[in-house]
Amino acid sequence: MRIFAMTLGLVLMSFLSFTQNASAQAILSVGQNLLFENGNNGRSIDTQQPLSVRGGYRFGIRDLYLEYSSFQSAQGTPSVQVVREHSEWLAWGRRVLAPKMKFAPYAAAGLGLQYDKIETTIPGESKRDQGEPHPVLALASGFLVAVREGLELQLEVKAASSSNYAPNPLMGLAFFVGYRF
Amino acid sequence: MVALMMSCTRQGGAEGTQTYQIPWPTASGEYRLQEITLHSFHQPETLQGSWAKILVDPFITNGALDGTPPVGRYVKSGGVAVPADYVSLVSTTVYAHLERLHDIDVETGADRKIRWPLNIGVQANVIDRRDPSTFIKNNALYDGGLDALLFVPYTDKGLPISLNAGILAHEHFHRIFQGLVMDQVISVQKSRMNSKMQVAHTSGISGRCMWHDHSSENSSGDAIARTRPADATRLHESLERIDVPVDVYNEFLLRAINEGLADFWGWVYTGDSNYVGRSLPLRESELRRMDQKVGRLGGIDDIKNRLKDLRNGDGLVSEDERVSMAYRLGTEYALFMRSLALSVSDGNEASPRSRMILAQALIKALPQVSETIAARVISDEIQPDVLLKPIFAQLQSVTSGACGLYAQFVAGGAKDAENEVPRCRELKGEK
Repeated sequence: MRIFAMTLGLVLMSFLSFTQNASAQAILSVGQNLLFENGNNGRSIDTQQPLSVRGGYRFGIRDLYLEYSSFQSAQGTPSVQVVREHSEWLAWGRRVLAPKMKFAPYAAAGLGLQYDKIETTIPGESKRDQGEPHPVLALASGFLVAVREGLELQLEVKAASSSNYAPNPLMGLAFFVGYRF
Repeated sequence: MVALMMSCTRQGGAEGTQTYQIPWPTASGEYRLQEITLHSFHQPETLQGSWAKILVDPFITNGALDGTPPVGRYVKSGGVAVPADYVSLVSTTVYAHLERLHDIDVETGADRKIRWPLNIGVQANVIDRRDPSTFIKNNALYDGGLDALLFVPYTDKGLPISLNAGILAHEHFHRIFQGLVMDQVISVQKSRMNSKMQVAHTSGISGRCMWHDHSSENSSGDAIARTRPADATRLHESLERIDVPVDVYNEFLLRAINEGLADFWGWVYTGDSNYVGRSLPLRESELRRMDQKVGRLGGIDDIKNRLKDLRNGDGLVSEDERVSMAYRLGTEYALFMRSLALSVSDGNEASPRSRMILAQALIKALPQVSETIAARVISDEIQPDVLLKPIFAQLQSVTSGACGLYAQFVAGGAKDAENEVPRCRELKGEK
C-alpha cells in the first residue's frame, strides 16, 4: 500500500511539473456512471450509479486528469439499515487515437484507491466505519465528441480491478460532459 | 446470556478466525453492535463456513435447497470486518449464532444426530400456502424435508427475525427435534403403514414455524364459558360426542411439544424471557413470554377437548387454528421446562449453568421420548407428559421443588409426583 501511494505521488508530481513547462489546456468534466456489481444472491446484477468529477490537462492528443467518483447504496428494514458510501480516486492517462474523427476514439488507463464508509443502524444505535483503502487499476475506452468550441461529450466503457470487487474486474459505462478551457 | 453465547469449544481452523461487527445481545437482552470473533467462517465472501452454508434468495432443485454462490461484502476497519450490506450483516450474524449453537450441541451431545453444514436460506421467497400469489414475510422456518433453515424478508419495525438470537436458537432446535425424534417417528410410520399421505402429514410438523400473531384463534372452551348454564350443558354433551382422530391429536401434540421445546431452547441460548417480543407484535410476544406462571397440562381428554369446535362440519377446529393452538400448548411446555431449569439449579435465571443442566437432560431424554412416541403414534394417543419422566430420569439431582412443579403441571396438584416419577419417589424415600 505504501509503495502504491508513493508511486501515485510520483506520477502526480511529474504531471504537475510537466504542466508548468508544456502548453496545456485545462479540462474539466462531470459524468454519470453505471457500474454492474454482483447481487448478494450471486446471480443478479446490482446497478450502482456513481457520479464522477474529472479535472486535468490536455497536451495535444494526450490527457492527464484526476477523477473522483462516489455512490451510496442502502439496504435494510425499517429498523436496521446498512448504508454503503463508496469512493474512488483515480489518476488517468488518456490518448485520443484518431483525433480528426467526429467520434474520436480513445483509450485510457488509471491507477488509484477505492474505499467504503459503512453506516450501520440498529434499534438504538448507529455506527459509522471507514474501510481501509484498496488499490484499483482501471482501463477505459470510448469516444470523444466535440459539440462546439470547448464543449465535448465522452462515452466510455471501463473495467476496474480491485481485491474486493465482485465481480473482479468490475465493468461499467459512463457518460461525461466536459469543457476544455 | 452472554456467557452461554460466548462459551465455545473451538473446532474451526485459524484461517477462519476473524472478528466481525454485528448486532449481538448484551446481558440485558438489548442488541448492540459488537465485535464478535468467529472461528469457522472460512469463506465470508461466499457466506460459507464449517457449520453453515448460506444461500441468498435460494431455490429448490430436486428436493434440495440450491442457489448460486452468494456474495458477502465486508470492509476492514481497524482489523474488524464490517458487513457492507444488509444481507452480509444478516448472514454473518446468523452464522455467528450457528457457530455458538453448534458448540452447545457438542456440549449436550445433540450434534451427533445433525448433519453439518446446515443449509440456510436468507431473503428466501417462500410462497404463502394460504395465498399462493404472495410470499411469506416476517417469518423463519425450519423445513425438515429440505433440512434447511429459511429466513424470509422482514418488513416490520422490530428487530429482524434473522438477527434475533432466541428465534435462531428456536429454529435450530427444530433440527435437533427432527434428528432425535421426528426422523424415527417418520421411519416407523413408513415401515408400518406404507402410506405416503400419512407420512407427509406428520412430517409437516417439523418446525414450519409461523412467527405471526396467533391471537385470532378460537376455542370451544371459550364458547362454553360464554354460554348460559343450561345451554352450556347441552353444548358440553355435544362436544363429548365428537371423536378426535388419533392422527389429528398426535400431530397436534407433537407440534406443541416441538414448538414448546424450541421456545425453551431459545431461552436456554439467550436467557431472555422476552426474546420473541423483540421481533414480533406485542400480543403474540406477550403470549409467549417465558416468565409467565406455569399452567396445567392436563390429560389426553383435556387436550382433545381443545380441538373440538361444533361450528365446523367435522366438529374439529380448522387445521390453521390447530397450528395456532399448538403454540399456546407449546408455551405451557416451555414454561414448565424453564421453571424446572430454575428449580434444579441455583434458581438464577442469568446463570448459563442453570440453563445447561436442563438442556443436557432434555437432549439425553429425547431418544427415549422418540421410542415411546414411535411405538404409539399410529394407533394410540401419545400421553401429554411423554417427555417429562424421561427428563426427570436424566437429571443428576431432583429437588422437592421440581417434584412439586411436576405435580402442578401434569395434574394441577391433584396427584403426587412421587406416585408418578421414580426420581421423586426416591427423593421422598431419602427423606
